[in-house]
Amino acid sequence: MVRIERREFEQVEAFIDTIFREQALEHFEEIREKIEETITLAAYKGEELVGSLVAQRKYVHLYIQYLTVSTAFQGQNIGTQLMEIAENLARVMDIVNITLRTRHYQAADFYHKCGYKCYATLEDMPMRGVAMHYFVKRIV
Amino acid sequence: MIYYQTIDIRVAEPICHEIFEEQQKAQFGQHISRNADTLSIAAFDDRNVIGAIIAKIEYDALEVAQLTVKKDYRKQGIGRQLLNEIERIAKEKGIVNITLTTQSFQGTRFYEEQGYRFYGELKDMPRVGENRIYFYKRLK
Repeated sequence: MVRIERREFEQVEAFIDTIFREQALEHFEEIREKIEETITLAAYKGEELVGSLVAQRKYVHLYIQYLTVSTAFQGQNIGTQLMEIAENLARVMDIVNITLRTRHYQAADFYHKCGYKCYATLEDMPMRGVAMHYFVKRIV
Repeated sequence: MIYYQTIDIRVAEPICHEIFEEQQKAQFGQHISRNADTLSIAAFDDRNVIGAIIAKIEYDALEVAQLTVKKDYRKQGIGRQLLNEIERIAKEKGIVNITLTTQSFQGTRFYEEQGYRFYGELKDMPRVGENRIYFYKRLK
């Protein structure tokens, strides 16, 4: 008889890691260690932090989680610079795909200019009235 | 003169959040709660965990981060039960979209049977030679 119950996150996560290792063994015959890393970049003007980029690497994938530039400093290419630095780091790290998401009122045009391709759009994501665009750039 | 350097994520993350909040408030004319939550549900056979699901909620969206069932317990509908339980909670909470990803060798057909729709596929994700497939289900 199978019971279904809500449990603490840490407990469930540990269990899932074990299963995924088993499954990886079935398919790859060897466990490849997860390569995980966070890249955090900042742009400063003097002492002031005016922009930043946060990205997560897993294996040969880099996900850009945040890219922000303070309102007063927008239009000065700071976002472009941060993206270029991240991309250069990604090349050194042998990354294949860089992905990111942006809401319809955010930066789709900017990412197009940076060479990213929109591979999907979902309506009402992450909330009603907002469309989410999903972007990818292959850098190899 | 703007200069760029790597920084600690604990410095970058709050600033990114603050800028996003500001932008979101400007877009919607009001503060919108992130409504963030993690759901973790386990399936038990007697006292042993035999399957589990982890889902993350943000605003009106739920992302299934992990779903797995122990090898000897597969093909018994346990994955379906876990997914159904997450969907039940999602409906209760007024979630609009459920999203998830799967690798080429995992559960594409399973998710299609559960009413999920394909919305994207990327090659060499997260490792070379693997494809990541993107699914979603609209609850309303």
